Amino acid sequence: MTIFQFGTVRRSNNSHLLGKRIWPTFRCHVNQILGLSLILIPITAVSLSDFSLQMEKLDSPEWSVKGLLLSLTQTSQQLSFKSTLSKFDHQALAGSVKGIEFRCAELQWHQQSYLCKQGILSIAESPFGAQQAQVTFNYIDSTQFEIELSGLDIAAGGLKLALKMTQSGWQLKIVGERLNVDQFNALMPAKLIPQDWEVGTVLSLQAGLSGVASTLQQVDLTADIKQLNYADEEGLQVAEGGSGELQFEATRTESGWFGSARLELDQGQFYSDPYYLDLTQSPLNLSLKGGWSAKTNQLQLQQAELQLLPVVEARGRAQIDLNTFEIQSAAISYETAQLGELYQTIIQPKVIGSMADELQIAGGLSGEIALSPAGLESFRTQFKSINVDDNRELFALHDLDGLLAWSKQGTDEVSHIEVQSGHLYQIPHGPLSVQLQTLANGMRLLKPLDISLLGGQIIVDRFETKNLFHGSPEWETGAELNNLSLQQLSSAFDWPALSGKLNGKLPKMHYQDDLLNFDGALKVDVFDGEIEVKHLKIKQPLGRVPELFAAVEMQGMDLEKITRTFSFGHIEGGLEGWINGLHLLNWEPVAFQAQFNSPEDDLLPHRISQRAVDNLTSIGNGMGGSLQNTFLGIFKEFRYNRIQLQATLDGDIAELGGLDHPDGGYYLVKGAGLPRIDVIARNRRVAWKTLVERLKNIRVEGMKVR
Amino acid sequence: MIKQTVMLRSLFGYVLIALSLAACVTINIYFPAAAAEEAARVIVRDVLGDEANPEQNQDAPPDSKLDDDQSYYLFDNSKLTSVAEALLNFVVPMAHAEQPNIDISSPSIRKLRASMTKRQSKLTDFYRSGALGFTNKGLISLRNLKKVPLKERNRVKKLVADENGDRNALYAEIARANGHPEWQQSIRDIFARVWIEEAPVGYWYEDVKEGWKKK
Repeated sequence: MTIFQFGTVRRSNNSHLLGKRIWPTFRCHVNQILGLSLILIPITAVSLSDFSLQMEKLDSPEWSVKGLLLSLTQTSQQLSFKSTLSKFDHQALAGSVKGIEFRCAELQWHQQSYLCKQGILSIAESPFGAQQAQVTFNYIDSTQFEIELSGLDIAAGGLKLALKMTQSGWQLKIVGERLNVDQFNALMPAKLIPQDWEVGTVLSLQAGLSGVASTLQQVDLTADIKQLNYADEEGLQVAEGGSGELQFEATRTESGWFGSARLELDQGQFYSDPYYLDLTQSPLNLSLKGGWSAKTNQLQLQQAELQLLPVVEARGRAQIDLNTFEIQSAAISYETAQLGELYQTIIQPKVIGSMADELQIAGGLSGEIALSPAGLESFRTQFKSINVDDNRELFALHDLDGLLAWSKQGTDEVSHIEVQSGHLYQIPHGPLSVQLQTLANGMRLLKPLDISLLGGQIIVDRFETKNLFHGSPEWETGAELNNLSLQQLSSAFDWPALSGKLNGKLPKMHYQDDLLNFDGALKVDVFDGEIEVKHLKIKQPLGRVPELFAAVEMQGMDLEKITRTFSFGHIEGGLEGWINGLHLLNWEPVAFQAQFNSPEDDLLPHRISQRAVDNLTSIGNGMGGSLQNTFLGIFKEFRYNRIQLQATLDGDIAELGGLDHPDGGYYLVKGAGLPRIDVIARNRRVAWKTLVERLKNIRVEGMKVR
Repeated sequence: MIKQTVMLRSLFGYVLIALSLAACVTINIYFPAAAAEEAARVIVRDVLGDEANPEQNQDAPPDSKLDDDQSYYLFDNSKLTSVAEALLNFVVPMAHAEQPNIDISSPSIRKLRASMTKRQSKLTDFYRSGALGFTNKGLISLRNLKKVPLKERNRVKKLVADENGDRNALYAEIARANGHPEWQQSIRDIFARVWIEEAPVGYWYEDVKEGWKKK
């Protein structure tokens, strides 16, 4: 109930109907006052020549009016209308509207309606500033009229309104030109935009709204967006210099609304943490079509399309609960011919800090995914001529094609990946053909994988991953290494040229929590002997600081071939040895216990060259070349009984040893025959750095000591 | 009564002595804070390069150098009997005399230092603008995203991830290279302070109590 308080209503002397003083106070409902002035006109107009109505105050919980004055003046030529309001307040406005005056100099009576073609609305003061607008109206009665306002100057732009009321409903058209949304928002007491957001844009819009009584039935909006800039408080959602167009239309249905929207952004930089888009070169197009249910507050997108070229094109449908903004279900298909762009824009920002954040990718893919409130339900992706190169040069895969299909419920579809070439570290490999069966939380190899590598092959007989999507991912595999060429291996790592073959059987390799564990042993057939690597495990194999642990045994090696390979100086004889507790950090040794010695029952001749003696001496004491200064310098080779070198490294200190000498010290080389030469070292402890320096300083040819 | 009191005092004294003697055993397992700080300062100055705080007294021993032995302070604040103090004073200098240096020359540490030094020039502008700051955990943090141009943001995020990866690995590796993996947290704490001390005026850092502050 709203109370209207009237002051006095004066009448002219010749008024027929209002010829007596009416009520000093009057009460009626709010909606009855809106057309009050014109409601009165038809009643009085026939004989009215001078009429005025004055009200001191009119209010409701939402709004109030003060100082209302309506006056009609009839002259012999025309009827004129004037209405003034001293003050108008509404809770939706940021301040009072004062000094409102509407004047229609010529109010025409035409075909049962009042027509005003050149009305003027002026406002002295308002949150939108002073206004001067042109008004036209055509009024039949309170259920049938048309009114147009133009020339409103709002938020640095212009605004035009046109309202048409018929017995079947109403239509409102709004045309805004270059409206500054920032200024508009500042004028609104209930902010359309959160207070901690900075938003600025210039909007030109055309909107059509229609309805019946107080019910909106249809909305049609086209908005041209310029200079779009926004930022939230933390800078997680930002736009700079955006522009585009928004089209939206919706119609009320029995259950809610149904409509479509299309957004095209063709300029600007956008950041939605962690994604960044620069639309200067190519626009973003998003179109949606679907309905909203009032009962469930769910959005049913029947058709959604996103085009962000050349990054990705995606389309699909989805059901979204607007209470929780949770996806109830979604089926999306996607395609890109520029996977590199997709990686840079969508994937890389999500994987920063992982091993996948520094890749160069090219190629294309297409596929589908299905989502539920629980997350990913299924995906199916087709790979098309993809090249992947790790910028750290840890691995590469070239010409990758295939299909990867996965479903939470399991799928019978076989996934397959074909790769033409690639490398792991610096070791190149040949074509790969992988057939996989995906599982609910992992995948497994369907048939053994044959990898051509280093002139030989690696046969991976099984491979299975677990906890791929939930929990701590792990995988297990078994492999057999056949005749890998040491010559090619040494070439790949820029080592001195080795000859021989690498063979091995690794029945179980297991990876979990950054630890790769090897069961079985690698066997290296080299220098006519065999090196066996056991108890191998690697922590963070592709990490920042990889760690390797292993034990090594070697036997039956020919020193003549070793020394020829490393140009250490000529030594003939056999060699065997072991390395226990080998610990490499970042591929540098930090701990081991090792021994290399001549076999007890060695049948090979034992001869050592002067240069090899010098080099062994320099390892022992850092000084070489001493033999040349003695008479032994004339001998180029010597016979020896036994060579033995022990070394223990723990941190930065190495402890050296050999065959114990009765008088202290230890033999590195125990000589035999004449001229006999013994290399006896006295110092056992040496800084590892020093020992490495000694190794670097020995006279080797063609060997790069790192 | 007096006799009982004297006995109680004696008993109390014996207990304290026993406790202090037992505690003395732990002195040999100490963290060489001064040496670690010296090592940290070398690395931090090396990484920051020209950015290193010129106002920081290059030669002045940091206050914490007194804190050579973290366990020392456990006793320093205790009210021990004179006998226990004497025993303690006898033991502690011995422990100090055996203080090892902190080795920062392992290949991994050198590699990590080189990686951080190389990255520093890419980070400097963002330190200066306040986009990045030094945390109290010895890492760096993207504290004000708005200071980073939009198209630079993911590059800066990656730089931060890489820098923190190197720093975490560095602290772990220094502890490991010196034969005490359990020192990692203490080394991190020292680095956290030294990074902030060596940061030049204008850099932002995270204060434990007051949050982000500008030097």
